[in-house]
This record gives sequence, structure tokens and C-alpha cells, in this order.
Amino acid sequence: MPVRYLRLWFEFAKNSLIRQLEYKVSMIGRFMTEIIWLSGQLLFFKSVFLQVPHFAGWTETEIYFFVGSLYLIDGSFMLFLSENQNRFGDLVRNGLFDFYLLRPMSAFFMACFRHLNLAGLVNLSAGVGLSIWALTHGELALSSADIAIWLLYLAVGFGLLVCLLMSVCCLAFWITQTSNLNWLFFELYRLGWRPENLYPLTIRRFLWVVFPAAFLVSVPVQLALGKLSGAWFVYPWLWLIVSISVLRVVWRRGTARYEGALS
Amino acid sequence: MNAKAFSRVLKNTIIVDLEYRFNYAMIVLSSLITIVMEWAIFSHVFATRSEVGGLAASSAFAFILYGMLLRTVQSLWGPVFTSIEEIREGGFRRYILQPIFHPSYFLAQSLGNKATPLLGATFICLIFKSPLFSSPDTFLALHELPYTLLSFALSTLLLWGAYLLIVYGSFFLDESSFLIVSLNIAASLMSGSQLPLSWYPETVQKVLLWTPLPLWGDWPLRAALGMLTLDEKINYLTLWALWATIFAGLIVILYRRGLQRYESFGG
Repeated sequence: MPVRYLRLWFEFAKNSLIRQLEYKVSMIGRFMTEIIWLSGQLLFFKSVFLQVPHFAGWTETEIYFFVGSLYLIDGSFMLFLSENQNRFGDLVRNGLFDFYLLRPMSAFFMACFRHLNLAGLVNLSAGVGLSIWALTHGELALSSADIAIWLLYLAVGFGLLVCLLMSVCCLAFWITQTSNLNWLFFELYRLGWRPENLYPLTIRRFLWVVFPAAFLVSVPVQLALGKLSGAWFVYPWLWLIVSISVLRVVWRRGTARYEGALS
Repeated sequence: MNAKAFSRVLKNTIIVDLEYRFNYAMIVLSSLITIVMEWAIFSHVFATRSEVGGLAASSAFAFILYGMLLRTVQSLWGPVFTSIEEIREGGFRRYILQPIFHPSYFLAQSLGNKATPLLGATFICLIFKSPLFSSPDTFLALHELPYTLLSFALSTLLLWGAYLLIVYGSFFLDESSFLIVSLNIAASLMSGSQLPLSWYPETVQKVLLWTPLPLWGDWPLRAALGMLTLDEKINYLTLWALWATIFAGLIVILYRRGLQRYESFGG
């Protein structure tokens, strides 16, 4: 089964690549936009560290490790999910979701991974490059076990992101217009672009308990760096289990409620 | 386009925009999140120091607020993408057939589009600048107000001019929407509205001086914080006049040549 879905995903990827290569200037432009965004973020932190050697317990290399991890998660989000998230509301509203349900494969898989945004490859490459740079810089000195923890918890963070995002998308089965909810989701997701220990306690609690953006990048990085330990190894899994359960319920009820066009 | 027509377009845009009330709730939320994210960094940077790179700790919060206000007012999406679409899909012919001068129409639309976000962002600024959150010495000095307002208005107009350049560039380019996104990101991240320009690496500062970017962030924010000397105020105004002349010249050339080339469909 997984091999079949992997093959299908490669077909989707090939199809998306061909489609996006039709508009070469557009694709180069999107790549350029991403490069400007990534450079801007790096310049932001570089400029801060020109003024202070460290802040809130983070050194410059540690912050770059965090930013590299952020690019990895954000790049994966862009590559796999962003296009599908944007289209899902329209699919349900216009009844085109019928075609997802009729195919001999998981409609959920189609809804999540049918389209790829290749501009995400820029973020992913930058994430890989920056993380490797930070890891080999000498200052961090992470063991292979630490790196394994980092990769594992980043994967958990990405799983959590998929579940949260798709749960929000599934609200399209009940309400007509979901673009504002997607916007709201993105704004809250943005809070995870900073290590959560920089925020005041109230916001940190919000990011741990209400909207778990802290578990997407910040917690995995802090676990690998040894800044967090004990129960923090368990919390991301708990959140993942809860969000998978919520998504299963929302997806089942939503698809049961769906009646084709304008359901 | 006379003043009456201009005010009608302005009023109409405001009314249409008010239909989308949820957008304004989202703009307020987005502004608050931006403030929280920037304060998260600034509060730690200033934790042990009273001044960093020319910015006093007492002015740091005001810098974030004014930066957020400036970016909210300056960034344009709706009128820009609408104009590009009109050029692509043939709708631009109404500016040829009717006595509407597109640059004035664009300005009226942009002002109308930004009227309510400006109110929302100003409201947030007033709340955070109230004695509940800020000490009175961080308020904008009254005698700095006219120059600050002038710098905010001129800076915004210059950036909108850059958007208009891209709009008219789409008479000649097949794809220009990425330029809008890139301009928005550059104006937000590299103009000195998120971090004081003096914090940037020296090489970057030197490069930025050759671009209009400091006029879009550094100038109005330093004016608002009372950090500009008289010489600097005059220098910035001169620099603005120079860039405004370049932009205006380019806009006129692109607009005229674009219209000559325009065939209603396909640009």
C-alpha cells in the first residue's frame, strides 16, 4: 500500500512539475520571491546578533539552527500543503471534490498531496543548507542521537501541522467561505517562527496548550539542543495523537455531510 | 479626473471594502501578532542595555508600533492586482474610452483600500501608546508631528509609485505578480521598518543607500522617533524628490508606451 501511494505521489509531483514549467517566468519569479524572503529573515537575525552576542539563552549559531529547521518545516508546508490548502475550499464548494471521492484511492491523500508548490524546494534547500552549516559549525556539537531526536521531532511537528491544517480545511464542509479561516491559521502559525521562550508566559501557554505552534519547530530544536527534557519528549506525541483524532472525526463527519456541489 | 470623481471612487472603494468586515478583524489580529513577534526579540535585546545601535530602549516599543502602522498603510495588494488583471484581460480599455486617468484612479482606489486598515492600526497604536502600556516620554513630540506626517505620506506615495511602475510594466511583461510580492517583502524586511537600518551590516547599509528602500522605512520611522537632525531631514527630502522624479518619469514613459502597445486583450 505505501509503495502504491509513493508511486502515485511521484506521478502527482511529475504532473505539478510539468504544469508549473509551462509558466517558466512565473516559476522563476516565485523562486526569486522565496529567496528574498529567506535572505530577509537571515538578515534580520544577522543584524540583531551584530548588536548583542546572545539573547534569551540563544547564541547566533543556535538561532541559525532554529531558522534552518523553520525553513525545513515551512518549505515542506509550501511544497506539499499550501497549494492543496488553497484549493480545498473551492473543491468542496464547487462539487469537484466528487472526483476525489470517486477515485480508487484515499480521498484524504488526494486532498493533502494532489498538488505541489515547487517554490517550496527553495525553502527546503535553504533549510538543509543552513541546518548543515549550523550543525558543522562546531559550536553546537550535537551527537548523532541528538540529530536523530531533531529529525524525529521535526517529523512529528510536520505531522501535527498537516493535521491542524487539514482540520481547518475540513470546515469547508460546513461553511461556504474558508479563505479567512486559512488566513487566521497562517497568522497563528506565524507565531511559531520564533523560539517560543522569547514570548511572554501567556503567549507561551497559548502556543503549548491552545494552538501548538511551539511544537512545530521550537520544541524539536530545543529537545535536540538539550534545552528541554523530561516530559517535553512526550508532549509532541500527545498533541499529535489528539490532532489525528480530531482530524479523523472532522474528516469523517465532513465527508458524510458532503452532497456534491453546494453541499 | 476631477476632485469630485476622485472622491466618488474613494468613497465607493471604502464602502466596498467595508463589506468584508472579517478582513479588518484579521488585519487587527495580524498587526497584534506582528507586534508580539517583534517585541519578543526587542525585549530580550534591550533586556540589559539602555541603547542599541542608536535606538533607545524607551523608544523600542514605539519603533515597533510605528513600523507596524507604516507597513499596514504602505503594502498594497488589491488595487495592484486588479490593475494588472485589467491590463491582461482587456478591462483597461475603460481608461481609454472614458475620461478616467488611471494613475488618479489608482491613487483613489489605494487610498480607499487603506482607509479602514489605517484606522485599525492607528487604534492599536493609540491603545498601546496609552499610559497603560507606555510612559509619556515615548509619545511623539508635537513639534515633530508635521514633518513625521509628511514623511509618512511621501514615503507611502513613493512606494505606491513603485507598485504603479510594476503595474505598467505588465503592459510589456507576461508575468509581473511576483514582482509585487518581492517588492512587498523587500519593503517590509529591508527598509528599516522591522529593525533600525543602523543595526544592519555595514555593507548592506551601503548597498541600501543606493536604493529607495530607506525612504520606505528608515526615514519616516526615525522622523517619528525624533531621531533626525535638520540636515538629515533636508537630505531625506532631497533624496525623496530625486527618487520621486525618477519614478514619475518612468511611470509616464511606461504608461504612454504601454497604451500605444495595448490592444485591449493580451496587452
